[in-house]
Amino acid sequence: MELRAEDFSDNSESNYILIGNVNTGKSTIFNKLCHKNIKEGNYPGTTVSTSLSPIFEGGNGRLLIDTPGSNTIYAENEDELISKQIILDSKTQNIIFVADAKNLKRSLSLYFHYIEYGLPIILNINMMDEAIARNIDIDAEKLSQMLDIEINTSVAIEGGGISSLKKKLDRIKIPESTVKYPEFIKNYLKLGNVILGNRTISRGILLSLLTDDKLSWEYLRKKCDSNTFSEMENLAAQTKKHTTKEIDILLVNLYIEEAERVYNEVVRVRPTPKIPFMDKLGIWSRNPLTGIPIAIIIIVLMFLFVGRFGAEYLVGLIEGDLFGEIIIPYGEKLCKFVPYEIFSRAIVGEFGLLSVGLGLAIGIVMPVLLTFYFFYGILESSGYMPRLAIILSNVFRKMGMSGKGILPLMMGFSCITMAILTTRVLDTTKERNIATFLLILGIPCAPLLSVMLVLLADMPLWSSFFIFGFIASQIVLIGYLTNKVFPGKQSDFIMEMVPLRIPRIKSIFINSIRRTYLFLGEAIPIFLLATFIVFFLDEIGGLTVIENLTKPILSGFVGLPKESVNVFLMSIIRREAGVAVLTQFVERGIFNNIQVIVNLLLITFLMPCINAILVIVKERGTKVAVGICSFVLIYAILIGALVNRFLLFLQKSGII
Amino acid sequence: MNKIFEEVLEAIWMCEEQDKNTKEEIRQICHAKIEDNILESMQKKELIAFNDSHIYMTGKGKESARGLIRRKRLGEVLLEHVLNIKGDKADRAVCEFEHAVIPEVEESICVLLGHPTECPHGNKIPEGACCIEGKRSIDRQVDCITDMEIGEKIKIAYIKPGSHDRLHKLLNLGIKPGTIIDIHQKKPTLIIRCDNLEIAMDSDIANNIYGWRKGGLQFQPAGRKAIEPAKGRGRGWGLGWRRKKRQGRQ
Repeated sequence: MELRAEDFSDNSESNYILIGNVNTGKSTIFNKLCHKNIKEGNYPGTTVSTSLSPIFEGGNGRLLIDTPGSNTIYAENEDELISKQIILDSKTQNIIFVADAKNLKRSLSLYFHYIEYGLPIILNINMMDEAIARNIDIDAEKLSQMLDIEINTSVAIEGGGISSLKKKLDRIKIPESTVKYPEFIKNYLKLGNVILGNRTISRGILLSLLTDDKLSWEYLRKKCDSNTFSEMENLAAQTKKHTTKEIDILLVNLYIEEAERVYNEVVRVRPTPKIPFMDKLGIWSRNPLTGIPIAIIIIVLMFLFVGRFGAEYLVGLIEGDLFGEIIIPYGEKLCKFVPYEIFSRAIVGEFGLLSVGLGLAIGIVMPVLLTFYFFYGILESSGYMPRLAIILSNVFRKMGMSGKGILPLMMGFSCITMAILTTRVLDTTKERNIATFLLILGIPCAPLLSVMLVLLADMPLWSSFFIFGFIASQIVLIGYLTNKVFPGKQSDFIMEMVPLRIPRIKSIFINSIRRTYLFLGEAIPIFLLATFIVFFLDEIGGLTVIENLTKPILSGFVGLPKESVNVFLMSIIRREAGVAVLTQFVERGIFNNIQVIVNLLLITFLMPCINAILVIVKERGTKVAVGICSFVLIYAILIGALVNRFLLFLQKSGII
Repeated sequence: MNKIFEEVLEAIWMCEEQDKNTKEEIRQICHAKIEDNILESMQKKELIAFNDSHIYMTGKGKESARGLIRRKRLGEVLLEHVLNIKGDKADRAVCEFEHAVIPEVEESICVLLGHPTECPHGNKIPEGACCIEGKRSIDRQVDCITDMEIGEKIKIAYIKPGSHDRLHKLLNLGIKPGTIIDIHQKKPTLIIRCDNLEIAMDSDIANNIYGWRKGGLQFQPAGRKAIEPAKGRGRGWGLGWRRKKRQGRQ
């Protein structure tokens, strides 16, 4: 989703950028203004890259850019740099600043950072409902006078205040900064402007130069000749001698002071008689004493909803009744009209396109995925995730990650590829590498998870416990070990909590249908292709050759039936396709319980899908990618063999 | 308050001590230049009242002046008697001192010096709440926030400048000297609330943040209870039982 230069409107005056602290609802406003459907969520770091779209209805050809939130312009994170880069590249001329009504002081302090860029700006105070619930009165009119700009208030998630924001875009204007800089900084700005002459460089950039900001220095190099450049370097060095404080700390302090001054003028907080129930629930769910039981309840609910309702009831309905009783028998009858028997085998045979390819994708993956995305969507938008991160933070610290690391890992249950992108929110390379590694190694993604659940539904209960327990404990163990092995330092864990909100069931439901639909659109062709390749290999006898080749490892060492090679062939293309084929074999009784467990674990550990590998190469570089993948391959085979022996031993001793 | 206002108030106080609060006298001893518009705006803020010849302080003005003088003279005692800094150097330091010291520090210094009544020049030091009670120990000392109990309100005194990044991060979340925070939870990570933001942080970071327990020095005589029960909405936050238990013991 990286933006390309040609995506922007040539006329930068009609480009608008959404800027604001993390979790203030920028993406929600983007979706409402553009009638788009990019990911919204109630935790910091939902958005990690930019999106761009024309403003819908009455937008007059305006383009809107959504950016990841940041708390500072002196950015540290990759995702925080993005919005600064866009402004420096003069891709946009207008800023829509999104403030959080219940944390207006903090939002205003960031606002004072941004007005120094000298761009027209409009202030949109979002989440007014939450401020009202907390008895916070904001005098928007007075604020508008004090800041001398247009101010809009909104409750974006309900669509309130969106059309007025659209109208107010016409009256966007450049405000005067009211921040009182110390003399030496004023002098610096004055001298800087003299040196730079008629090149217009905004104060924001001049101030960034003082903080050794690489982006701004690069920007300056492009704008002026080497003489002027070195003069500016001298000036900045001279200016820095005036203070023993770090300049950025000094600046941020100034902005906070100014924000406090304005805040005290326009905001009145009346005492709240009692804490709202959702806030109480939020407190309970992050306190270990009450939070661990809550987490267990949520996992059980999830298992009941996704495992029992989705994987048993819905799959039974679609795969068993619809495909098994209606579509496939009719398909068989239709195929009889074609004289060649091979055609019939290709469509409804052992590796038939209809019976296996389509049947698996629609019959098994779709229903479970739908229920999973739905439940997961509720967790995401309620703001529960950061609370879970708190509960698990001790475990994560041992694994070399700050509690923030749980966000990408939990995302992994939804989609590994997306989760690897989300590792950007982590602060150090070490943490990103560990998170990527764990994602590839241990986390089953939603489609895989869904097919696993279907398979496990028919097996004894202990096998579910064994598999998920094994996956969880191995994530912890491997995390602990990689923490020792990977170089680099652990970053500070400091995370802002989001308020717990009642999730909006309807939009989550629509969103989960959309995500499932997108998944099917992408996966069905691949499912069909994979099925066809296996069918083709089977027809020309290649399958037997490969089966015999891999037999020493798979059957001899790991202890799986030779048919398992089909499963692995499929899972190289897509992991869930492999498990789906496994389901077919299990139905025919080729695999026993232990072999199923071993095979499932192998698939979970063995290979990420092609997409994920490509993303790792892009985000982490080829070296890390090859390293991670080769380790995972060897590790998976060893673990498979070990688990097989262990379970056989248990079986012999009559424990299971 | 404006620094010039403070200088004027001090000057009036000192003149009043000698019963000669005429405009001229005040103008002479004041460090800042007294313009008429300054007096007018001070009058507007209800700090003083003045006519052609005299300036008087209002109750509010007196209150501020009293604190300023007290801090100034405490500072003089501290520098001269304890730190052994005399002359010009001391004067210059004290000049800044009275404007910069906040009430918590003022009390601690007073207790430390044993509630002195006179400054090195022989002038009277106005009494503070701590002098009246004859407090012997500083219970409002600065502590690391990890040593505080759940439910306590804390005013941040300073943040150890461990790393620049860390300081910046905290600053951007609004955590800086002077910010008032609530301790919400201590395990598995520390959770604090400042304004309307809940922030979770590792003990690595929290170990660098120091503050005073906030328990109404201005509103009621201090020293009876080390820990004030949090009032209003603060009461319900976090696991209150630990705090209540502690109070029960005391």
